[in-house]
Amino acid sequence: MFTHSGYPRSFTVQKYRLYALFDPRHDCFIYVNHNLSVARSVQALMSSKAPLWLYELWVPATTPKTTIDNNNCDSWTLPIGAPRPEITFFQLHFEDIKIIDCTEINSLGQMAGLDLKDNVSEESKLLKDYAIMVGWFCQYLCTIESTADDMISRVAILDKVYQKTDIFDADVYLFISEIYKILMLSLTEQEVKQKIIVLMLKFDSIVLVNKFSKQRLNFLKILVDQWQQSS
Amino acid sequence: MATKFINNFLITHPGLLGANTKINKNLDLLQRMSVVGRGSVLEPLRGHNSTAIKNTNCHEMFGYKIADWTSDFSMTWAEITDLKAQELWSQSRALNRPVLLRWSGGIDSTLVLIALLKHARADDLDRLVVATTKSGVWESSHIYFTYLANKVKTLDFDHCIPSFTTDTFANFIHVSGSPCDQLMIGMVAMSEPALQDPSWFNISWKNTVKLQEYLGLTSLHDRKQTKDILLNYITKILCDNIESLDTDIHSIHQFVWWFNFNFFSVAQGVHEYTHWHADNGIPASAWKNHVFPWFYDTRYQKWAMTNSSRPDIVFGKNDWKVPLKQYIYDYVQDPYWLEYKPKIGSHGRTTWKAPNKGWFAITNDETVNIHDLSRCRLILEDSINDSYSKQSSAQ
Repeated sequence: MFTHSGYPRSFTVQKYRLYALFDPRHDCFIYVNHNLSVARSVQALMSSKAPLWLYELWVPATTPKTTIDNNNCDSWTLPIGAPRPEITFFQLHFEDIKIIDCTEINSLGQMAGLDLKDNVSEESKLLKDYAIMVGWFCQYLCTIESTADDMISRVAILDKVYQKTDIFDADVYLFISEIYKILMLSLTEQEVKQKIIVLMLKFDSIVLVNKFSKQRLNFLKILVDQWQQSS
Repeated sequence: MATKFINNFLITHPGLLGANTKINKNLDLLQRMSVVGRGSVLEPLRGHNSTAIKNTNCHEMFGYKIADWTSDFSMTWAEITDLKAQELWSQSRALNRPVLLRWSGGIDSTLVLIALLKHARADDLDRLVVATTKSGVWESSHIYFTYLANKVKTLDFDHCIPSFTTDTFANFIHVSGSPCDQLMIGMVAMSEPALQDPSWFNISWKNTVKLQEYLGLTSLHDRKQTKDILLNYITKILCDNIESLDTDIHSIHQFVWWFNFNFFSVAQGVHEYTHWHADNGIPASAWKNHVFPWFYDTRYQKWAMTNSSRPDIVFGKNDWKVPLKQYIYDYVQDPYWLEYKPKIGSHGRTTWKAPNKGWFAITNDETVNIHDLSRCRLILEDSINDSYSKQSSAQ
């Protein structure tokens, strides 16, 4: 259902920056996106499932035979011998993003700088699919957040602290917060769908149409209709 | 064996925290020590007025006791934890005083939270206040939204704790997850070789060649400035020190455990008190009477002593803090906690406001004075601005 290569629609520069989330548990990448904010948001929303380390990949603009995208990123890992990231709070969220230059093409026409794995686990594939779904929502639905930190502020409504209702209407604010919360807490794609269907019923769509971006809401309505028809 | 071995750090450097402390003379040593030990007494001194701990002894000041050495303590981790929760709730009921838990979202403070939830009577939850940050929600969102949000009172740590006065401090019984790291094994950085190769559990620490090899494998040793200090300090001072003690410390792994546990006696008291004192003006008397030292318990200490040679209990496969994770899992039934939940230095995000002194991040095993505010701005910028603007408008 949810697909996105991770790349922009077109790019012409010689090398392109791709932000990739590395899962040390499965020793592979599980998500890539050209937009840093989206990658950071996915990192945050996946935090209770997998602490993910953020890399900046320089990928070639001229597509080699095998490159990295969201279809195959769980097949890519850090090169053998390269230090795996320690999972610490500061390294996850404060330290500079590590850059890997993948622009060289090897004799097989493959992108260099990373290694291709022989086997991909089913568990990492599920995690990757979930991350792509989260990224889809972050990119197409909830784009009003500029940073992952803002997003967490929105979701974590600690008592009377983070109610920034001066920026957006309270209903819209709560609506998007609920979507973030669903993405953060659900375990499967199916669970997300079910909860969002319930959420749409809970909120008054007419009110939201007046206050919420029509384009984004239409996206969601189409999605929910499809889910309901297929279930 | 009497307890004095535990406070070996103080024996090694008599008067370090005692009444005759020549704190300035020792400052250089202390600062170097802090680099070595991380969980040592030094970091809190940086940027603070050292009179906060001058002329004091943390044991006398806080009333914390260290257990006599034992290697055959029979209580399980879960049994001790259950008792601690029952004791804390009893104290809260008797005093009719709410419990303020500083929850970082990490393993240690989540254990405290889960134990409190497990043993709470119906009206107890009205007396539970959880201070956390949005980062706590970030790390353990399932816990937050399932057990905390809209169920118990929550405070934003960054906003509320810095404004605590002695009076507001005294309104609560304070509890946190510190210093569980020292109980379990100490710093991860010191344990890496043993986690990678269990044979280290069987090699004697008296084999100085192997001991130095072990230390050379730790990530602490990678830091150029700590290399010589680490080797000199541990192999000369600590080896002599432990040699004189009547303990069952045999392997290199146990030695490293002991090295960290050695700092256990000062970690909680000095770290946290110094910050409360410097940032909020909380006197030692209030600290002593209103802090519930969860992990600073002789039963946990005896458990740690007994199991310091049992890596199968402390560790799972490439994992650690297994007893805590098992306890949490038994309650929340979330496999993530049992199978994977990594340690990411969670407590470091419970930040303290220290105007004109930079920001301080207190962790279980190290205290970092963050002079480079840019490292903290990502998380704290909004909090700082909001906090100051509220203060300004109030004035």
